[in-house]
Parts: sequence; structure tokens; C-alpha cells
Amino acid sequence: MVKSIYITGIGCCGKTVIAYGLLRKFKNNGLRVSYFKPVSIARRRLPSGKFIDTDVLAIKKSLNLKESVETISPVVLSERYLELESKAEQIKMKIEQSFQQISNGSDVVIIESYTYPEVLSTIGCSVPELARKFNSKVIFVVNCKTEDPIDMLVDRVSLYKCFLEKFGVQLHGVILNAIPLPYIERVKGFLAPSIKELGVKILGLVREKPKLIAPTVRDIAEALGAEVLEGEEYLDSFVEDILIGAMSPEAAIRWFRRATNAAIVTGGDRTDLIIQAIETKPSVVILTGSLYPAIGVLIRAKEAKVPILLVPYDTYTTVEKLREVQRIITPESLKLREKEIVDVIEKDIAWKEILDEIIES
Amino acid sequence: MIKDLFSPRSVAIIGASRNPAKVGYTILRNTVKSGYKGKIYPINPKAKEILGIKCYKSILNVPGEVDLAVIAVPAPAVLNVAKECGEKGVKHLVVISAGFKEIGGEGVDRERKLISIGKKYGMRILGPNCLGFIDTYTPLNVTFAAVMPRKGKIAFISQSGALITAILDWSIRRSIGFSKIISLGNKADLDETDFIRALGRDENTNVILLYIESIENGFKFIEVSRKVSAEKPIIVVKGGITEAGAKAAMSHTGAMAGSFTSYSAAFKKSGILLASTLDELFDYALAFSNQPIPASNNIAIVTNAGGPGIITADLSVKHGLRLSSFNINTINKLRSNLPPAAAIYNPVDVLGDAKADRYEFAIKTVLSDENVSGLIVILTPQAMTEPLETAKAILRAHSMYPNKPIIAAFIGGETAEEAAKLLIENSVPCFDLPERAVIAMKGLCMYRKYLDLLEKVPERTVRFYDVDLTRARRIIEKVREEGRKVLLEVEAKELIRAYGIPTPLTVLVRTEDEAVEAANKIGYPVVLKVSSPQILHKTDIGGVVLNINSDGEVREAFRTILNRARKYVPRAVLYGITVQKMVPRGREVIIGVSKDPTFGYLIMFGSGGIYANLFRDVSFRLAPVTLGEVKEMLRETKAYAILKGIRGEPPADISSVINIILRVNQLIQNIPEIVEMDINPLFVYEEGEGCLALDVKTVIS
Repeated sequence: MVKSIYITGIGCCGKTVIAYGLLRKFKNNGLRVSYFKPVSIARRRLPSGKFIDTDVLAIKKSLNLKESVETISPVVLSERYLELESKAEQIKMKIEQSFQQISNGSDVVIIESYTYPEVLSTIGCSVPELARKFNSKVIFVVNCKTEDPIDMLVDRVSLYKCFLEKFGVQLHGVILNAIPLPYIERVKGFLAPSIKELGVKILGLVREKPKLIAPTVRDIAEALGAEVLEGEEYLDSFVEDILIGAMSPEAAIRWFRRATNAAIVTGGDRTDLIIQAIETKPSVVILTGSLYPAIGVLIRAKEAKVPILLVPYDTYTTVEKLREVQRIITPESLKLREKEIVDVIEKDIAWKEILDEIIES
Repeated sequence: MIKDLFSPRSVAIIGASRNPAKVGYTILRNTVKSGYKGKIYPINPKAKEILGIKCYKSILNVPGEVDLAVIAVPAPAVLNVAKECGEKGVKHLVVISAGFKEIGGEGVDRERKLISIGKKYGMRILGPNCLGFIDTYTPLNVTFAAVMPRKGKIAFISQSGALITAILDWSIRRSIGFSKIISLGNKADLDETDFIRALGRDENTNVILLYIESIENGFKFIEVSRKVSAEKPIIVVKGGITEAGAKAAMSHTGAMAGSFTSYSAAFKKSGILLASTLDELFDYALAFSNQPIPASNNIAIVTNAGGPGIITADLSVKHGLRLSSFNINTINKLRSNLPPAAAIYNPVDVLGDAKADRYEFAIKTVLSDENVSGLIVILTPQAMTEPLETAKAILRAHSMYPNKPIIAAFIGGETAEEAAKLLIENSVPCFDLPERAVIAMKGLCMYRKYLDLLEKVPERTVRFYDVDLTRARRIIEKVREEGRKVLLEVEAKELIRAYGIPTPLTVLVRTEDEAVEAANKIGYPVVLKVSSPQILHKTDIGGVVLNINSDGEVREAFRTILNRARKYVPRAVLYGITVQKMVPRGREVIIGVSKDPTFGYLIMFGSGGIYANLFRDVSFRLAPVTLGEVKEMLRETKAYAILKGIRGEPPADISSVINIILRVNQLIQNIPEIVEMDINPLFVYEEGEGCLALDVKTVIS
């Protein structure tokens, strides 16, 4: 059977970016690689009515994978999925067939799990069950930023280790991702050794890099369905920060100046704030409530080369939607960040060890 | 030379029209009616002649040379016409047409092209989207305004064309004359600074008035205005000083304290008088156009009614003027010659039955007193009053004492009108209310103060040689390489330390163990503070723990701060915790710097600590500041009184505060990446003990 790595974790923990990085790295090393996401989440509806996972699309496009989206991602779950129970056998079959197809002619397949490993336990398609079927090495990714208290991540690893062992699968290793700076020493000095004591390898310690998967202005414009009022040619810059302009310009300027590559959200009628925002050269200014700005604002934006978007939502909704966009990975953002992602794989993740062990096994 | 713009040998009016409803007709008519002596060429492809003057199809068909072309054709045709003007060798263009940058989109591109046509052919451009200009001495009026102003010594430059037409209308009634009136429009090429420079050399202009909404090149503006205002007063009304006004004027700048702060600092530095209303602008103008500058703030008031005299006295003091004490000769002379009921001390009340002769005696007597630098004459119409004769008496007194300004307030309606007109026409300002007379006098006195300051300010700023620019640059480069905009506290402190500004020992740590180690190295007691670019006010979230005395307390404080930070600002990226030596409390002041896109750095000084934002006891100056400016800046605040010591408190080390402001001044000149810097609090100790910068926030671009 083909060698495979199964990357799993809880919530938004960086699985996709790590999967992409490993695929890139392995490919650069001359291996024939494939990507497989047996169960994925319905994030976007295509015009055809079919639901797809944007992560899958991003990786397929950025790596030029030849398999169809349906093969890479055979099962797409929407909000209600327990009804699938009646089709359990069909689903298992579909996953298996897709995996066969994908592994054909590949040296390594990197499998990415659903947002939670336990999903589809009801029909026997949870991560441990599928991993056993594909004989994959399971790597568990932990987002250290969301573990509160931080020490809980050791318990988390222990719990999922038990979960895997119940199905006779070993937890091969753990990647501790997005470690906030103040916890670096705690994680390295105490938590990582504790995990090793559980008999689990530490395959990576990655510091918090919130900017690693920032969306572009274009991604945001598309996701918000925004009208581009100015700066059509400057939509490729990244958005790494979100700021709301609702205070007096004097107070706002201090925040605007401190933000890097920001999206500044404010009302179209706040001419004073918009002008000030433009002066700090953010990535984009988003005007809410369909309030068309004064003409002078657009002139300034044009001169300063700052794109201006107009959206129909109120400010709160706009920001909520922006947060959602920040979690979506697009092919453009992966390609534009390729160097930085591969850099993380090379420096912070034991990619060589992962590769060697797979090939030996 | 812009000077030539005002006195061309020939003028072409492109878009001249036969239709009196069109702008092109009005401009031609105004040009003719103004009494212009040079050649006038109307350009219109369809007409043979307009107003009896031969028309040409294109400027290229004009037989002679053309110095000035006024363009009043629809916007899409302007570029072609301007190009033809260039080929013809025209020296100056006045573009009246609208449809440029002010409409956005294609207008922006059109304006850019217009500018490059001007550059290519070496033509200077006034406008576009302007009213034109008037010179009453050439004479020439190439505007579409309805009236031609009287000749006078006031020049008026305005960013609003409509304001000009309104003021022209009003000036006729008030008998106020102008030397030049210029409508700036979009300022594509020529701007306010160009005209201030030109008017500074114009012998027909005694005072320059400016209505301005925004200034693009602040440095050039200040440099030129400083020179000109040393020669003649510049008075400005700035549109857009409130949030609402600024929104409309789009003149908002990046200063922390709002754009008006930076504008008023700029005006102060340039010696420009700021008028808060249009009324004030023209009251100042009237005073400056012919009155001398008083030698001091000491003035006298002569009145024929007690009440108005008292009101005037009150107002004078309120506006910073002083009522002079007369010398003994004056008092004796007044007492022996005025009726017994008259008030002989300042204000002098010559009583309601005073005729012109009694006024004249009193006026001449007080003007002869060396303690009197200026005079306000109040007249209320009563049965015996002779307004016209009194006006003549004032004029006679003025010619006897030409170095002391006289300003009149003839209260009342029709009876005073003729007299007022006579005074104004003979260059003594006359107002209808005492308030305005006082404000005009205040303006004269303020200008004297500014002149003193302009003279006093030395050319050279203080330089320090013990600074380490290389070290400072290295810190900035490191922050830039890491793609950050906000300096960590330790970096910001190292930066100012490189410029000789003392700070307490501070170490950034990431773990409890490191914190304990740092605390022991520094020595107890210590302070622990959270370090994150997203946390602007550390105390707000409980991110500062003071007076820590043991290893155990360090560990506890470390955890407490991290927990609070995670709880209150979960999205903030934490860089760690800073451990700092706990130092004795000093008097707290703030030194701040904010970069304004128009005028550069604005330096702030004031009361510091956590109440800084509450008290707003601050003063501002534009960098680079001189020693004199820093001292003046300190004196403007209440913090200065605290530094000097209140109720027997010993004075604090004020000279070291001055030293630090000057070092900050040099730092920002050397490192232009800095957009914001706050030293808050700066602990100031007793005289000779110096200062310590406890916290520094720095943002770079």
C-alpha cells in the first residue's frame, strides 16, 4: 500500500497550511505526492449547486493536482449529515475508491482530516478508522493559541491518543503550532517533554505567525461581494489586521498607524476618518452600509493607491464576515506565501524525520 | 515671474462669448471695463467680434504676442486649447473652467495632463476651477465677478471663489479697497505660497489676506511666509477647523491632536495672524492696510459716553491690551482744559456735549503721552455731537502722530455713516461697535509680538554631538526587517538612550525564570509591564505591577499580567513582559511627537502620566524647534508651574526637560521613519537631579 500521512487536529489549527508545506517540500525533493481530504466541510457553493471545501480548491490549484475535486474530496459535509447513516457503506466505498485513484502513481499521499477527528464516527469513517484502513501515520496538530490554559494541550493529546488506540492506531507525532511568544519556554521546556513521556513524538514546534495565511484584498472583495470603488489594480496585497474606525480621527490615527497591512472598516460618510485612514496606507479601506463616499475621498485614494471597497452590511456584520474570510485559504494566498510556508516546514518542522520514517515503514 | 501674471502686455480670452449669460462674456466685459491698457484678443471660432473687439478663431491666429490667456471653455476642450497656448508662446494661463480634480475620475487625469502641458511649454497656471484674478493697479480684471473693487492696499488670496464675489460686493459698501484679488481654484500649479511670495514684493500691497482650506506643501509655505510676514502682515482664515468643517474641506491631517493644532502651530511659526471669523479677517485687514504697528500694548481710549468707554476698557483688557497710565503732564493738561465732570484718567470721557474741538484736544493730548502706543476713539451720536468734524479732527491728529495707530468706533447708524466713510477713505479704520475696534487693535499688537519672535528666533538649532545615530538606525532597521511598525518598549528605550535621554534599566523577558533572573540582575524593587503592540494603555488592562520585592512576587506578577492580557485583549500579540527598575516618583510630564503629512513633526509638551489625556494641558510646536521655542512652549502649560514648584516645593530640573525636548527634536530630524513617539511619563526630579523616561512608545512607518 502507498505510504500516507494523516494530518488531523482540532478546529482551525493549521492543518491545511502544514499539509501544503509538506507537499511542496516533498515535491521539491523529487517525490510524487498526492493530497486527499476524505471528509471535508462545505464552505462554498459552486454555481452548479455543488458544495466544495475551499481548502481543497486552494491546494489543488496551487499544486496543479491532476485529480478532480470530487476525487480529492469525495465526501463534503454540510450542516446536517447524520442522515448519511443510511448510506454508510456507499460512503466508505466512495472514500476507498477515491483513495485508490489518488494513490495511483504516488510515492506519498498526505491526507487531511475534517475539522474534528471524531466526525463520522457514527458510520465508521472517523480519523482512526480511516487511518487504519489506509495504514497512515497520524500526526496531530495543536493550535497552542486557543488552548487555555496552555497546559491543557497535553491532556488533549492524551485524549486523542486514547481515541486512536481504541482502533489500534498509534499517534505517531504531534506538531505544536502557533505557540504565542510568552509560552514558548513553557511549551518547549515542560509541555513538549510531557507529551514525549506519553510516548508521542514532537514533530514540530512552530511559533505564532498570524500573518502566514492572510487573505488578499481580492479574496475579501469576493467574499464580501463588495463593489470596488477605487484601486482595482491594487487588490493583491495581504490583509493581516482588521480595524474599525468609529472613534474621533485623533484617537483613530494612533490605531491606524500601529496596524500593518490592515483592512480599515468604517462608514462611507466618515470622510474625516477615511482620509486619515488612507494617509496611513492600509491594504484596503472598506466602507459599510452602502454609503457612497465623498468624491474627494476617491481622489485621495487614487493618489495614495489604496483600494476602496463598498459593502451593504453594517460594520459589525462586515467584521464578522472578514473574520470568516481570514480562515479561508485561497490558491492565491498559498502561492504568494509559498516561500514563507516552506520556510516554516524547513525550520520548525521535522520534515526529514517524517519523510524518512514513512519511507522506512 | 508671477509678477508678470498681473501686468501682461496682452490678454487672450479663450471661450469669449456673445451671450451675456455666459462666463466667457462676463470675463471679456470685465477685462474691458477694468480699464486694461494692453491688447485684448477674444477667441471664439464662431464670432467675428464681441463688444466691438475683433475675434480670432484660435489663439494661433492672433497676430501679436500673447502674455496671458484666460481659458473659459468646457473642460474636455481645455487640454487642446492649453496646448495651442503653449505653441503660441503664452506665458501664463488662467483656467476658469471646472471639471478637473474636483470631480474625481477622469477629472484627476485631465488635471495631471494640464500640469504636464504647462511644464512642457513653461507656462505657469492659475486654477483650474477658479474665478480668475483682479489687479486694481494694472488695472486688470479677468474674473467673472459682478463688481470691480476699489483700489487699496489689501491683497486677498482665496481658495473659495464664491467667497471672493461675496466679499467684493460687501467691500464696495464699506469703502474698502484691494490691491489684488486671487482665486486659487484647484491649485494645480500656482498655489498660496507662490502668491504670498509675489505679494511680499508687491509695493501696492500692505497686508495679505488668505482664506485657505488646505495646504499641500507645508514646508515651503512656512519658509516663504516667515520671510514675508517679517515685511508685511499675513492674516489667514482657515476653513475646516472643526470636525464638520474638516470633513467638508478634506483637509484632515495625521496629527494626533487634529489638523487644526498643526495648522495653528504652522501659522505661529510663520508669524501669520489667525483670524477666527471673516469679520475678524477684514477688521484686521482694515487696521493693517494703513495703520502703524504700536510700540507696546498700552492704549488710550477717548469717548464721549461713559458706558461705551467702560465696555471698551473691559474688552481691551480681556484681549490682552493694557490701558496706559498717563504721565503727570497729560493729566494736568486734561484736567485744566476739560470740563470738571470729564473723566481725565484712561478711558478719557470728554462728555456727551463734546464737539469736535474738545475731541481734538483730548486726542492730541493723549497721543502726545509717551505711555500711549495706540488710541481707540469712541463716538456716540448725541445732540451736540459733530461726527464729520470729529472725523476730520481724528485725521489731523493722525497726521501729527503717524507712528501711533488710531482706530475709531462710531456707534450708531446713519448720522455716523458719512463720518465713518471719510475716516476709512483716509485710511483710519472706523467700526460700528467697540468690540471690533478692540479686536483690530489686538491684531496690530499681536503682529508686533510676532515680529519680535521672528527676529529673536536664531537661525541655528541646538545640536548634540553625543548621540549614536548608528545604534539608533540599527534598532529601526531591525524593526523594519521584522515587518513591524511598533517598537517594543525595550527597543524604544534603547533608541532614545542612543540620543542621550536617560531611561531606567529595562529588560524584555518571555518566561518566569527569565523574569526572576532579570529582576535579580536589575535589583529589587522592580516593575513588570506587559509588552504588546496592540496594548496602547497598559494600565487600562492591569498590565503594570509596581513595587515588586521578591522572586515569588515576580512570578506572581508575571502570571497575573499574562492572564489579564489574555482575558481583556485576547487578540493582542504578546511580545513578553518587561522588567524595569522601580524608580522614585518624580513630577510627571509628557513629551510627544506626531508626524503631520503637511507640516512634518509636531512636538508636544504637557502634564504627563495617566491623566495626560484628561487634562490636555499641552502645547505644540512644529519641528525643528529652537531653544527659545522650547522655553516658550514650556511656559504655555500648567505643567511648567508644577515644575517650578508650587507653595514652597523646590523647583524641578527644568533645564534637563528642555535638553530632552531638544534631543527628541534632533532624533526625529535624523530618523524620518518615526511617525509617532510618546515619552510618558517623563519623571522630572529636583533641580540638578535630571529626568528619567519611564515609558516610551514609538511607531514607525
